[in-house]
Amino acid sequence: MSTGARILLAAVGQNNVTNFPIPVIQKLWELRLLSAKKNLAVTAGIRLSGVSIHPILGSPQHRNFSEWSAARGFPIPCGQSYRFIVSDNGWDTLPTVVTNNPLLVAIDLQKADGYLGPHPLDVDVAHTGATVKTVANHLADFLLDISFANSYLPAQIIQGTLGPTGTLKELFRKKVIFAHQAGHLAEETAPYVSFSALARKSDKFGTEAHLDAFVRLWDEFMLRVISGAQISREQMARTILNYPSYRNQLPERPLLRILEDAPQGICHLVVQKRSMEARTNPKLRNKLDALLTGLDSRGSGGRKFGLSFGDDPPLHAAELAASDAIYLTRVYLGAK
Amino acid sequence: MTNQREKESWIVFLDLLGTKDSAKISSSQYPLKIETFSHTLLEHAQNIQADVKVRFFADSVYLQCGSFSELVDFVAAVRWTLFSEQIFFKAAIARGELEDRPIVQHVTEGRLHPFDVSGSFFGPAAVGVYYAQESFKGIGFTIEKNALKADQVDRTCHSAFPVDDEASNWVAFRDIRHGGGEIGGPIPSVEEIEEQENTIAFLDTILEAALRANTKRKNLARYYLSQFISCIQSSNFEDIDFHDRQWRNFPPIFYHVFMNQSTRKGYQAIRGSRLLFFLIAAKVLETNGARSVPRYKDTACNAVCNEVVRALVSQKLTTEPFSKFPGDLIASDVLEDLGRRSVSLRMRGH
Repeated sequence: MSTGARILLAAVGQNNVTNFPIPVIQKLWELRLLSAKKNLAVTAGIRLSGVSIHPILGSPQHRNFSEWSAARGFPIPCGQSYRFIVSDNGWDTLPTVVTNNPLLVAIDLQKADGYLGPHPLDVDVAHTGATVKTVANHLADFLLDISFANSYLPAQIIQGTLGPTGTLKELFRKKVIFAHQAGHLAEETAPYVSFSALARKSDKFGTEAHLDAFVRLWDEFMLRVISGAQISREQMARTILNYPSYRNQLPERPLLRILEDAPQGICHLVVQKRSMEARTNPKLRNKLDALLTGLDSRGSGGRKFGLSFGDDPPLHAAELAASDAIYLTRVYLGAK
Repeated sequence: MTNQREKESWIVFLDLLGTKDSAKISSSQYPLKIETFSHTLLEHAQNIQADVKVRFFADSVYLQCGSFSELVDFVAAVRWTLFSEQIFFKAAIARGELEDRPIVQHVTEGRLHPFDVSGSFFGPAAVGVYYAQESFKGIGFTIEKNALKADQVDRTCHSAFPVDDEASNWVAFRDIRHGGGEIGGPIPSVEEIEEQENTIAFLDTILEAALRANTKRKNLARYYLSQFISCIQSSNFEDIDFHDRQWRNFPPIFYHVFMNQSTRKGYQAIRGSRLLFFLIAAKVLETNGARSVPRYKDTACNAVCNEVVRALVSQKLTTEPFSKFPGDLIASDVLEDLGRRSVSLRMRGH
């Protein structure tokens, strides 16, 4: 899955242009997602990646969206691009959802947050409502959710699940059905739902409770998905070794053996980093030694790594990850 | 039948800033910036409910508009949109017409050396507004003061830009006043800062750009000061209060410059920013309090006046003479009161 989440801000009228939260949306990563990214990396071993924001401002003069967006280079392939239209008024037309743009979310600016369902003009387009004050949080919810799906291990599992002919559209539908069956969503007709939005409820974006609930939702969904996924432990080992941080860090055979021995479910891969801080700070070194001793660990010297099993990362892992002494990665393992 | 209403015509010359750097740094960044700039301008221009002419050339544009109020709405929307996207410009506005006379195209195709000519000549008003923009050393808009009618002045505000590297000399000008959507409303308490998150993010964007400019060339950030001054001038200080050792009902710019420690340090890194702190203090002092007299003349407002001056003293901003501030921005009697309070506070060891 490649990069590129595009936010299209459209149909912003002259009279309300300064009420529209362009500066906040421009700084969405900085204001909302960066702290969530740091938090999730340290506390859950989840690395958010692969989403960038390119806001484009529209105006109500351009009701013919297809023509208007074509003039702005939207048909130009830009990898996997997700589009968000934020509109203060209804559109006459909507762009078509195609392979390169697997998701379109139309957000109507209105007086209250609204219902998520299919758009009346196109059932493949997710339709929701937001106020001027809440729209930035809605966009952050979508981006956090897509970032999670883009992070390298979920991406591999998702690809393994969908198979060679699968499309992201199918996966998004699976998420909606899962959320509906789990009682988080009233209806199952929407083409997409953000787990971040479901997890946030009335909480502010990025709080500990919000991020924790977000991870738990993805956990439940991923465990359901991987039970049907055809991903061998060997494939998983290769996936991990393909990740830039691990490419020259982990020995292949011991990693494969440790994964082969692991049970199905959630585990956390802890990899020691070549960290000056961990070598010179005795308190940190002691915690690192205690952590690796307690795990099923392999390797030697500065290349030690281990797996811990269960939903929560092992003791001291968050502190050591925050101090840059270890890499912590949440791994979902299917049946052997 | 003659039209009784006087026909209005205004022209704007708007020049995109930073294009030289964009072109040098990245071949893709420059066209992208130009494209965003031109699209934004055209999209907002399409909303103008009056006669409009737009003439682009290179990284600049002339715009002629038949209505002052429509023009002000347009420039406010352009400023909000482009500054939010970190695309900065400087522009001048004046009365007049472009009087453009297109040069007839001479295109001879199919010859060994094609000859292709196009362009326009402009009238004297266009030349004047071009030079007004050239001599403007700030970002945003400067509008010809004498061209404004009494009912149009309210949509503008006094501002100033520094003319030297040390930011010790200032030139006063009139800017287009920021509307409520841009500059935000009063914030009841610091806990409710998120209510004005949009304006705070807008101010963050300009401050970050200013600090980045300083890393490119010493004191380059001073060009951004005029925009902060206009933001202060456009803000409402009527309801601000200091109660239970907490600021209440303050405008977002007050929080950004005065209260938030990290952004305050950012401002202090800009040569000439001392004026911003004094201007905010002066606004607090000169605005009418509950008894409809300026706070500095009302003993019931002593607490709030002293507190804002105490902040200047504690930031060591009152040790140098006050004399070089532009008179259009801070009235001499307000400055005198401010000086008296600061000396009194320093004498009492604050």
